[in-house]
Parts: sequence; C-alpha cells; structure tokens
Amino acid sequence: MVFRHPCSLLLATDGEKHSLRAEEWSFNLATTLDIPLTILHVKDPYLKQFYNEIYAQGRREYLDHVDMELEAIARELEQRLISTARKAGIRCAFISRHGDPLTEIIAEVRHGNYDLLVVGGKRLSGISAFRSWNLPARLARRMGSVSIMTVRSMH
Amino acid sequence: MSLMKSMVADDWQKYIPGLLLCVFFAFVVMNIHHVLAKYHKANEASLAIPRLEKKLSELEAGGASAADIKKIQKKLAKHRKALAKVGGKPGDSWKWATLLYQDLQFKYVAMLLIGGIIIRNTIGVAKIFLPGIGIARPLIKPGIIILGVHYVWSDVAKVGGAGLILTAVFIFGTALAVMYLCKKFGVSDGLGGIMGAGTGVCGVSAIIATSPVVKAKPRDMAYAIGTILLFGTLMLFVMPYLGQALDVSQSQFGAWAALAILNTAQLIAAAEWYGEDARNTAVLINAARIMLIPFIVMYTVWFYDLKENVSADQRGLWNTIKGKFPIFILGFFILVLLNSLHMPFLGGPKVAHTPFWAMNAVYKWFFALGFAGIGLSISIDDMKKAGGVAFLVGSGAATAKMILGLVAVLLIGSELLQVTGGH
Repeated sequence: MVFRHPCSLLLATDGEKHSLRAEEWSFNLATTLDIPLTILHVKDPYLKQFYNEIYAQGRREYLDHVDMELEAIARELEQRLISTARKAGIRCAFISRHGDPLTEIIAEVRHGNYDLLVVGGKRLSGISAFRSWNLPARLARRMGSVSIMTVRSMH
Repeated sequence: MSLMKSMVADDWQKYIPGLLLCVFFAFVVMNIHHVLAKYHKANEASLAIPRLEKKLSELEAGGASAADIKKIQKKLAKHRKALAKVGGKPGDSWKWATLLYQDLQFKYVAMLLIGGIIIRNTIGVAKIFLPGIGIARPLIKPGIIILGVHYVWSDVAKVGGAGLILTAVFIFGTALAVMYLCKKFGVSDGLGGIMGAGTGVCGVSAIIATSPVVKAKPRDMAYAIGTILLFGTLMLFVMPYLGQALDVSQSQFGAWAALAILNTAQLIAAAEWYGEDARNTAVLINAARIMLIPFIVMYTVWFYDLKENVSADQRGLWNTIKGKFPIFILGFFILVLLNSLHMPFLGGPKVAHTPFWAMNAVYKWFFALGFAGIGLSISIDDMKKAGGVAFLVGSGAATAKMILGLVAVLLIGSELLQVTGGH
C-alpha cells in the first residue's frame, strides 16, 4: 500500500511568537517528506487606515514609519527563515505579499496550488477565543478545498 | 489649472461611494431625529397646554399683571405651535417619542454611532465604501471651526484657561505616570512612548504623532490603537448615562469628557449627545488639549532621550510646533475673535438670516457626516487587536483618568466651566 503525502507546502507566518511552532513543524515536514517549502509573509497595512484620525499630525511621517517597519519585519523574517532552511537543506522560497492577510493568503494558495497550508495560532479559550480575530478559523471557513494545519503555540 | 489639480487627490474618485453612503445615512438619521424631536415636543405640549390654560384663567381672574399673563400666553403659543406641527390636540399622547428622545437619549449622535456600529459589524461595509467613510470622520473639523461662533474671548480665558490647566495636569500627569511605569516594568520605549502619549493626549492622533519618533513596532501600535479605541468606545456609551445617573451638570460633563475620553471624535460625540452646553465646554477644553500635542511629542523625545531619532530639520520647539500643531484649530479661534468683536453684519448664531446664524445651521450636518463616518468605521475586529501590555496600561490609565477627572470637575463646579457665548 502506498501512502500519499503532500507534495507542496505553504507556510504563512508573521514571525510572531504564535507562529514560531508552525515554522518549526513546517521545516520538519519539508525535511521528512523531502518536499519544497514556500514561506509566505503578508505585510499588513492595517495600521495605515488610522492616518487620517481627526487631529493626526505628521501623517506622512506616520505612513512612512509604518511602511519602513513592515519592510524591516519582512526582511528580518526572510533572512532568518531562509538561513534556517538552507542549513536544513530544504528547497525553500520566500514570498512577500502586501494587503489584508486573510485575502492575500487565500490568493497565494489559489495561485500556487499548494497541497497543505500551515499556519500558527494562539491557544484560545473562553474570553480570549471571543476576543481574538482568529485568522486560522477564518482561513478554514473560507478555504474548504485546501488542507490547513493550524499549529497552536505552546502557551 | 495645475494649482487646482495639485489641490485634488489623484484618486479622489475612490472617496465618492463612502462619502455618499455617509451623506445618505446622516440624512436618514437626521430626519428620524427631527421626527422624534417634533413628537416629543408635541407630547410635552399636549401635557402642558391644559395646565397653562388653567393657570392663565386663574391669573386673569385674580387680576395678575399684564407681564405675567403675557409670559403664560407666550408659552401657550409655543406649545400650540409644537402641537400643530403634528396635527394633534391637547390630551393626545406620544409617550414613545419622549421615551426615545428624552429618557433613552436616542438622538442623532446615538443613532449614527450605534446604527453605524451595528451595520459595520453585522452586515458589514463593502470595501468600495471604506476610503470615503475614512475621510468622512475628519468632517467634524469644519463643524468644530464653525462652533467658534458660540464663544467669546472671555469664555476662552475662563473655560479655556481652566481647561488648559486641567488638561496640562492630566496630560503630563498621565504621560509621566505611564511612561515611568512602563520604563520601570521593562516595557519597550516604543510601546511606553505611544501609550504615554495616547492615554495622555488624544488617543490615536497622539499615537500617530509619536510613533515615528519612538520607532514603535507595528504590533505594539496595533495593541495600543486597539486599546484606545476599545476604551474610547466604552466611555462614549457609558459616560453620558453615568453622567446622568450622577447628576453631573452639562458643563461639568463637557470638561469630564474632554479629560477622560481618549479619542477626540468620541469625546465630541459623547458631549454632543449629553447636550449643547456640554458640547460647548468639551470643544473648548479639547481645543486647549490638542494644542498640547507638539509639547507631548517633545516631552516623549526628552523622556526617552530620542534626539537621534528625530531628523535635524524637525528638532527643536519651533520645528516640532510647525510639524505637529493642528493648524485648523486657528480657524476656530478666528471665529471666536470675530464673534467677540460683535460686528453687526456678522450677526450671531441665534440672530436669524445672518452669516453666523447660517454657519451655525450647517455645523450639525458636518457633525452628522463625521459621526456617520465614526459609527461606520468602529469595527469590533479593530478593538480585538487590543492586547498585551498596552491593554493593561491603557485600562489602568483610562480608568484612573475617568475617576480623577470626575473628582476634579466636581470640585471645580459648574460655573467656571460654563460657556456663556457672550450672554
């Protein structure tokens, strides 16, 4: 009997604490199964919407600052993950998109025809589950035809 | 032609759908507000007319002075007019209108905010409307400028002076306490700086002004903005009812809101909701408050020793004021000055068919459009981003400011905070 396994893997990460375990598991999966790994990072311009707050001053500076910080996070993440992947001998590509994470992850999954999407998620219960935006749950609701693995953070 | 072009945003078309949505929403709500107000007044008139008629006949029979009789007749005429507007007669009842308009304070502000929040968070707002909704919010600014016709310089000196001292104490007190505690507990300078400024001055506006200076991280900014929006929204709905329950006067409430509500738009909404006098006091104290933005930026730079983060052309008091001062507030003070000069051709907000009267007639529409924009942009998802240390700091500072602000305005009393408008 032949057991099939995913042939292409997409890891969507923001580099935050709750995504670290998902990164680790993706590297493990890619190494064990010897499959290519694509890492997706979405630069979320969410903060920019507040630039026209009523008494906001220095709007241009604020927008530039947000852009600069998002760029720095993406660059740092790319360097860290690519170097880890190289050390582990994983075939790896880094893609950076700009926009709403939910929309952009879905767009990338559709565009790249991946077998498995790996995302990190916080451990949620009670009030924290209600308060959380919960991207993994939203992704699962919107992508019925793609396999998703949500790796919960340790804490 | 090129000058004209430079004044218009290249992609101005994208703002049209959202602005039209806000205009439509504001138009519907303002009409509901007018209908409610009309029936509430008719209900009051229906109850008052028999009482006044009885009083009038008693006065006439008792040989009361002509002035007293005239006074009652004037009141009767006013009530009859209110009743005639809905085609009613004495004894008719519209209790529902009084319940909604007076008891539940269901006025245009509440309808626009609550209605907007419900729409945004249930059926949602299509992406095409979002840019226009975003720029509808600052339309409160022309409304604030126009409100300058309600003040004279003695108000600015009295209420604004008291407000300036109060806000300076609260702003720098909060900023100092928050930044000190953040530093003591090892919170990053970026987060401590934006939370100190955000909880001290005027919420998101201050975060926008300070975040490039303290090099705040996006995650911290999202936490801080989420926290400010969460507490601003909570206070916007809680404070007017709390004020009524505690029997806080209009002027005291205006000052309290200006001290305690972190977000500017929300504080103006809460004060407008509470009443005209509350709004007048809140707008004036808020004008004093926002003028302190450049100073809080300078204070943050000094506190965290961030001179190297500020480019050479933006250093120093004058450059900071130039870069961070909300220039539009000068328009407000120009109108205060013109109103103080009592120029006959300008009239006044209550002198019919004069320029100031016309301006006063349109301010509510600017506010309505702004509040429509605020309501439709309050997203529970944004508030869900509140978290981390920012949430602890923000909730502590917001609660302390609310309690201490209430104590301060109760100690000061109503008179010092009352805007007279020259009357």
